[in-house]
Amino acid sequence: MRHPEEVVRVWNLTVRYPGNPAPALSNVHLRLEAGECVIVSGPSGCGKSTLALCLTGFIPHAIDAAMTGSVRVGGLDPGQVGVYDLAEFVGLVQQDPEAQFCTMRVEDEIAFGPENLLCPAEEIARRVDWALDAVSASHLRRRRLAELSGGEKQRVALAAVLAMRPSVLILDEPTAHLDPRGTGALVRLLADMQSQLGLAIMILEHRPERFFDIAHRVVQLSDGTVVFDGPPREAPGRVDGADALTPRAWVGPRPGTETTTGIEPGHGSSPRPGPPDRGSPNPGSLRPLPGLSRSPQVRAPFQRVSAVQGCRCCPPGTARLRRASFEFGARASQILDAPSCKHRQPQHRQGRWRKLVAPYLGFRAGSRPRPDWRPGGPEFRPGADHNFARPPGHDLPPSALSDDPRSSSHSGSGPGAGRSARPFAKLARGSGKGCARDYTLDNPLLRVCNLTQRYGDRAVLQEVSLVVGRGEIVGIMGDNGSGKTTLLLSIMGVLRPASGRIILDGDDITNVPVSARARRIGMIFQNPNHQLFTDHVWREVVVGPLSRGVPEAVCRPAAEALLDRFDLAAFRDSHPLTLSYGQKRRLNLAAVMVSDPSVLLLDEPFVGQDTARAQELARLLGELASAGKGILLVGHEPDLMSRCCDRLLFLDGGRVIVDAPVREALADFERMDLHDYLPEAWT
Amino acid sequence: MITCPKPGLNPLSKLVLLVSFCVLALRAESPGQAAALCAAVLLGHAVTGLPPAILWRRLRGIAVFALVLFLSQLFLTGVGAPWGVRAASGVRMATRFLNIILGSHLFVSTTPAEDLAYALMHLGLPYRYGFTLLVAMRFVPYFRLQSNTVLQAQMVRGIGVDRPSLKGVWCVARYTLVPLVVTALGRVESLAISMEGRCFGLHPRRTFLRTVPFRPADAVIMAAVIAVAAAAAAMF
Amino acid sequence: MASGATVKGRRYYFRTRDLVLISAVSSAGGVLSTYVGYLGNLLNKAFGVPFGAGQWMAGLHVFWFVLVRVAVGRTGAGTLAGVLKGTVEMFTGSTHGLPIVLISTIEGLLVDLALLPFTRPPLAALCIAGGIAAASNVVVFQALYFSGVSWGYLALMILFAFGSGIVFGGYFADGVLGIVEGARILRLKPGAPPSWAAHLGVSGRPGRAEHTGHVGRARRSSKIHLAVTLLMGVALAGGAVYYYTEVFEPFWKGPTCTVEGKVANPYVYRPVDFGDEVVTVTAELKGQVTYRPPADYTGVPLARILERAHPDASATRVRVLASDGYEAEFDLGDIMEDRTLILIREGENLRLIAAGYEGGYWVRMVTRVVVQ
Repeated sequence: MRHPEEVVRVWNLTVRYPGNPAPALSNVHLRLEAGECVIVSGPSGCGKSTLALCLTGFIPHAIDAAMTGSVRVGGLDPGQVGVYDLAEFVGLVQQDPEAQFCTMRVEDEIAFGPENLLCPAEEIARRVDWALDAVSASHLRRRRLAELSGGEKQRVALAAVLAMRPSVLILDEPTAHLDPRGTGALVRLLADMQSQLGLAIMILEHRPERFFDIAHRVVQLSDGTVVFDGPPREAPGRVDGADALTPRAWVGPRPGTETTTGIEPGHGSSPRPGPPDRGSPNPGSLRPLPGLSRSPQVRAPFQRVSAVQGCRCCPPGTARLRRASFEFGARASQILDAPSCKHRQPQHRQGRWRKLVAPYLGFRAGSRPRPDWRPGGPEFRPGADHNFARPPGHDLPPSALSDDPRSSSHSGSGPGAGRSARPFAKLARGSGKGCARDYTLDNPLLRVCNLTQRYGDRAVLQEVSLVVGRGEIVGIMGDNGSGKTTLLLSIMGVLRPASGRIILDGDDITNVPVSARARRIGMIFQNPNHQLFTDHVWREVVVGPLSRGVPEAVCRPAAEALLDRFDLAAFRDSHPLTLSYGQKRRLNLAAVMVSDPSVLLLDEPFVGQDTARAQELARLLGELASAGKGILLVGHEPDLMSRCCDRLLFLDGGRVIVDAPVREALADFERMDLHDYLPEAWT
Repeated sequence: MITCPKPGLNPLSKLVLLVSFCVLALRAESPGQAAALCAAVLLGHAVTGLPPAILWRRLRGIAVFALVLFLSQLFLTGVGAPWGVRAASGVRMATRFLNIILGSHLFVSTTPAEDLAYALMHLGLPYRYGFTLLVAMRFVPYFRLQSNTVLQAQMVRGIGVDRPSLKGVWCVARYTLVPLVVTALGRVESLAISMEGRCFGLHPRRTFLRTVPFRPADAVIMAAVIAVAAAAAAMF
Repeated sequence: MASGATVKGRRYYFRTRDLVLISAVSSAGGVLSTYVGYLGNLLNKAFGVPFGAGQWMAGLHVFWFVLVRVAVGRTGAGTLAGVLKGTVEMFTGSTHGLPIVLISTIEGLLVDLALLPFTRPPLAALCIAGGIAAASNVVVFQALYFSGVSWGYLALMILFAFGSGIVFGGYFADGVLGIVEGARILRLKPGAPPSWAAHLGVSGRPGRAEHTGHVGRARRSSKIHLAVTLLMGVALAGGAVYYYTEVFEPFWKGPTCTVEGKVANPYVYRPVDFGDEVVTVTAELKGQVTYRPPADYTGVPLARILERAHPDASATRVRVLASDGYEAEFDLGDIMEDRTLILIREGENLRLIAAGYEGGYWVRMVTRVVVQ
């Protein structure tokens, strides 16, 4: 067995930020070898990004932080050399691709790095070609960055870093801004890149399961400390107390789903394997690799240029990458000279681990994977059992500001009244036009009828109809740009619909101004910072009612109860922007709930949240639903959405193509080839 | 190698043309001179193929403001002077305003900001400063989106200026600007890391894939424009 | 940002972090300028005037420059932000076109100049910088698009803008910087303060250093803060005393005009300086439109005013110019022999009474008398 080169070595690394007594990283040991893919996981704030900044030299050179221990990246010490010396060796793709572009067009962006290296124009053009080819984005070359979708932007961000010809690629939360389809495409792209280019890849991800198919190892960080380092197979069972990797209910893979080859032992306590072999059986017959000059120091582990070639056993889509070339020296040659293409994949690429990890993302505690999820399965009842239980006894604060006397009668019949009442008298699957919109509610809280919304000549929503019952959480899924946010804004009244009606609790509110709707409908946007306006937490909660002329004395009881309920009372006089992300989210919720709206609209509230935070938020939503609120929730996370919602809608091109209780909706997703929107456990 | 997507004048030539035009517009005293400049810039718009209807839609607010300018000159200033003098002064100011705006509009409609930035860098502007313009323009759609979101978030909370007052405007301004500033500053770190992570600033100079050609015609036009503008300014 | 630290032997005045910060804030300012204009219109509506009250919002245009200047901590940041914000506004459809670049650049430059002595300016300095920069837009607009606006109105606009600059450019910017500091949004190290500033020992508010990353740098002691603040107060007071005693023209001294051109002694004419030389003439205004019956006017003969300036022997013409651009031209010889052409005070302006001449030669709001 060959022993690959070590490209990253972190030994006893401790990092402290000034003013923070707790270290961001504490005695971290980590190794990364050429051609290896490692996921560094852990909840937000556990030190993942700090690790990336250390490896790229920004700590200690650009960011004030005290760093002790040893770090070697390609043999270089980031503490001694600078960011620029490392830049040609290690590339960092940050969380939001939009935030790392500095030009206007795709081609300029990818050329940006080589231009700074004083490459001649011909060389720059070659690199741009190669990088675009590597990320399967040659068709985007002439496009403007502002016109790209999230997934396309992510590809361009990758290409822009690849054009620097790094040997190590670090991706920080690469799926945070992608819809499930984009996430799936990214995983496939990384798998291709890894197998074809032999890059060492480090993925910093708080939801690591998405990358288990391509990862060799998972490193779990918790409070800045490595608590697990091993193969994905061992991750769930080996990590204690780490939310992101702790299964809700660990159930082994379904019989027959595990292959007989077994799983590679990890780096933890098991004997350490070499990275998977990525050889190509026919080297040398493809386009030669563009030249790449590195400083001798950086070049040391990678001696010569090699070439890669197509492979008989791979699908045509992956052969494209094989045409791409990359200087990777001796190690690359070894990787690329491997006998069989299938050996270039991690052994668990074949899908075993998708099955294996599914249970820990289980639908509900104690559930089994897919068989119990099937429509008609014995345990699944829409809205009946949620992992995020709606505990009894969680009364919402008094609805001091409710303008509508009916709201108290609807929601005030006791905790969970709305849910236990089962507002669906008849829950029938829709028919015709492929849209399930024929639900009949005895007394729906919100009804949207044939809503059409246009931006200029383009119809963003086309005859959308939906209902939300009391105590019901309805999830809206769909690709980016499918009209989800527009739907919420239309219901809220921020956008005036071209046609259609919106009925809230029997009242037609289609023409009611947004300021009046705000008393009965609350909306929370994706970015919590966009909804924090004032200087104090207390003021933030009451500013809405105060702006509408409600005296503070009237809203005080509700506001105080909400601060208590959402654990924000201790921060009453703090500036909202100094709160943590989760606290900001709760503050957003409190600021909306102070008006006691009967319907809540939430636009992608789970984005950028780790599992623990997302669960916390979902639990809060469950409690609100139990109190009789109707909740319309836009989200991208199949696992969370399917666990949190009673019903799922799928928007495609502004049309509702699925509207059904969760279990049936997921079956529809599967039938309609929307596999990226299916929870891991379902697949 | 790529070149400026729209063949035509180099952005720098256009910039010189614009500045010269604006100097002339400021120097023009008689209504005839102002009208001649106005005709010239409208001709420029016609040459670029911008439909008059679209031009009018974009600039009708400007026309209204020009009218306000004219009226203010007529009624609020030069009290006591003959009406003819006041009217001439009003026409002069209104056409001056219109000419400068029309000239700027023509420049902006035919010159992408990134081309101007690249042209300036090719001319010798240190690239680190040239990129500030690119980065600033790069952020524009993002901040538009963000500001829209912030305003929408205010709307859904019932925050707004129903009855304009100093206090109300102060509050709304704060509620809008603070989230935007936080958003803007929040972008600094990631973009700076992205740029330096790709060796921005490694060398005092850099190469460019994109070229913005400076043709002989540009030199001729630039020299001619400067000469004409200087002569006309002296004559005016 | 890291440039200076990471590239051996190369240090830039503005680091990448600084440049990106300037770009981002300028872009946000440019995008929001339309919104600021909207707020200004709201105030116009509130005050029931077509324009003018919007100057209460002028400080929001310079807020960005103060913010950038403090966050970067380097002179020049405000000017660069001014250029960028103006350019962004122009390219995004500003209703002011190219002049907005000029206006914005001047505002940024004034912020830089006002904060020149400070690495981390105190609140008072921010307020003054914001006020001056905001007021400048009134002057530039006046120069470009208005003529003949009464000085009283102009002063009122400047006052509005200055006050707005103090509130938004100074106080508000200071508050926002505090928020940024508290939320620890900026982690990257800024550029080091200029060495001369360090030598001067000028500093700012305690704590402001942290948000800009100056953690660990020597925090100025409170005594130094006090000394600098006192120094600034003394300087401001001294400047104010000098201005009011030597430069400022109080309204009770009446209007003035300059006598210039081909003269040996150009000077500023004040009616009070010619108190014993006034004459009264009877004149009848016969204009093409306006007619005023014969009336008595009391003022100083233009000939006497010109005599004090000592016109050159080669001079032949005299132009009398008004603040609205209007002018009338006379033969110098005729003027020197005619004691009925007088400059009278008319409210806050000077007016030429040209007895015996047609109405077009009666110039109101005289500001310059030019001998040619």
